[in-house]
Amino acid sequence: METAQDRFKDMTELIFMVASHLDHKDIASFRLTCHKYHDICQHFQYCDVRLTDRWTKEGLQTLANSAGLIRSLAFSESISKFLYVASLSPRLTVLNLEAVKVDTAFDLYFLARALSSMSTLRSLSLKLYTKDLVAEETLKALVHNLPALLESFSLVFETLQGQRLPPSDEEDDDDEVRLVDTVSALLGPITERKEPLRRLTDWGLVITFGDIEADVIVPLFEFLPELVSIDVPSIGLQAPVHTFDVATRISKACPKLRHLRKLHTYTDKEGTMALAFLHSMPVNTVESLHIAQLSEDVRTFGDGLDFHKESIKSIVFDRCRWIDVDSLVSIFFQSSNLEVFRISRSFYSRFEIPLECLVTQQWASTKFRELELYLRLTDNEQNPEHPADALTIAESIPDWAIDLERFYRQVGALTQLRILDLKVVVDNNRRFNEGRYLPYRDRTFPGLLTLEDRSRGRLGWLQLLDGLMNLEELHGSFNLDAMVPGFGFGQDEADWMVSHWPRLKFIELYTHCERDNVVLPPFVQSMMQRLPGLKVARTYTGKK
Amino acid sequence: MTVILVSSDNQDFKVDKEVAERSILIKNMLEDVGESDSPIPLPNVTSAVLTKVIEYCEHHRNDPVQVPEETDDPRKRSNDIEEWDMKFMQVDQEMLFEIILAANYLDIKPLLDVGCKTVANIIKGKTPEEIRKAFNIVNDFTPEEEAQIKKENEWAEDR
Repeated sequence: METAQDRFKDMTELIFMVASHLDHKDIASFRLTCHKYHDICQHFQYCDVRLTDRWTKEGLQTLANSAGLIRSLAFSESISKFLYVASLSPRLTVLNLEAVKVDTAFDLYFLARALSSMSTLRSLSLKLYTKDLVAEETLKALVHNLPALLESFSLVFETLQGQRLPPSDEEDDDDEVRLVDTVSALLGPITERKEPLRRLTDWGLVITFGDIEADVIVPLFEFLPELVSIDVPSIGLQAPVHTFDVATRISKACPKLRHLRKLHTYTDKEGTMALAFLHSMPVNTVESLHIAQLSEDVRTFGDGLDFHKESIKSIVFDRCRWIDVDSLVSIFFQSSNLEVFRISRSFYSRFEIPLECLVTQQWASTKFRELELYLRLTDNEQNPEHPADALTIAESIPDWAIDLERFYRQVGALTQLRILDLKVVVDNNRRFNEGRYLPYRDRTFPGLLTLEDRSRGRLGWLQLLDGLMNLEELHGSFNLDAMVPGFGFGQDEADWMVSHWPRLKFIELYTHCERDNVVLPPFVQSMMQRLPGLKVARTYTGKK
Repeated sequence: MTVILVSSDNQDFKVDKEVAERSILIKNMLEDVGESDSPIPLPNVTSAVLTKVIEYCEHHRNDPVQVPEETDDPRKRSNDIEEWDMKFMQVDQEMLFEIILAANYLDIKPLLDVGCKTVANIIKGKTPEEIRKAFNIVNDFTPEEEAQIKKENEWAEDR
């Protein structure tokens, strides 16, 4: 009698489902078992292809034969190799060209025309580097040739010059003209786009070492009326009025804009253009703002965000040097729809949010899903005087702990929170003086991981976070071995977390190294056993 | 409300309607016949397998209906099996394939997914020869064909 295994093995659609859960390495083994499984696995073998120098001529020929299976293609080789495969892939939807040298108008037109022929493409990510081409010319050629169904476009344009060259007014030489003519003959002439890209909603553009001329880029946005999210472009910033005018024109051309990113600050170090967008877009339309690595003083983002306090849902400031603290704090008190607030610091960051400022009012939103904060605790909170005495519960809570408790109560009300990341700002002078072995207890939020124990007169606030039923990740400086004196993390706390945070997948717990072994305490191990999939990030310092 | 399911070896299983309706096949049958006490014959499922399938459906009776994935990328993850499901699938290999075939026949997509992920986990990290041995697969490649496929694998291995 035929076994279930035999019947299963004959059902191609079930084998296909199994193969869909295998990674490339296992697909490679599975397709070597027999002809039937080899044929089924072809789909996965060539679905997602990265071209590297491993692809010999023979390999490319094999790939070309299977080009109909390619959905996603990435490469960092010559354009001709890419075209050889891509042009034979009628179902290509994702194209990622990672580091492509485009030096001549011939290269550019060749690429632009090839792209225009990829009618199924939905997502295009290009990283081009060049010695001679200018950004304006490149961007214009690409936008006019983007396929009509494209939904996401990203271009990183790197010039090998130390600084941007102005657009060349010189006549093209004869060779160049001949090559362009050759491409035109092969692939058809470069045409001016007539119809807008009605599916394109995401626009990314980074131009290293420079900005782009407004007269070139602004008209291009006329072709992008459906844009929802953009990298705020760095435009020639001659005068603030000009900046505001450009932002106004772009936001009018793209009335559905909701999400702003500014992740590159090569020339616009103060984020002037992002600020201009916040001011020029219709009130309460911006839903997310992501700003990274601003290196100059930026004191006015709060003014811009004020216009969008009803609509803003996500704010991320990554490794900025300066942000006005009052602006940041007012966001918490005014933005009732805020779901994501993340702020990270670099060594050069000079701003810090004092805890006491953040707890003067009730936060306007309880919809947070992600919260990442660097806070400065007051000296009393960080190093309570006479801790052994002060930590006991007297008739009332000690003064130094009042702000902390208010803060934990606010966090505890965020019932939809999935990611909580709390870090204590450590003074740079102390960091220098004490070096890399700054005790982690000084970076630990006092009492966050400790249950109050009235029978032993012990303070703690973990019990205030019992509303965080959806918490998946807890990041921060939580030191098990060197908690702020008087606070402890033990079996009770571990049991509490297991029963109150059932979705916890990640927790960061610092511990100390004991003779080259980092051993987690038994109660942490029991947490890992009872919360399947829980990852405990173990970091340790050399000194207590 | 309950319905009666009849296995291929003529055993009756009385189950809540909402449990039985985790199977799209049964759900459609019930919708077609309307209110009826008639037993539903399942000639492709033995009582041993049906017991396991009902156990699964009981446990997942309150799960939200699975929305088909919109992504074009067919590559999925096999390491996200829930703990209960993982224990549920700790059966001998023949029963594992019986459950998958039953899930396919009864159209219970989440159970089919878990079953296929479990098979994928068995394959992971194994050499072609080990896979053949695990699933009793006959190698029908010539040495030349095998060499050619190995070469193709080498081109594509750097991802």
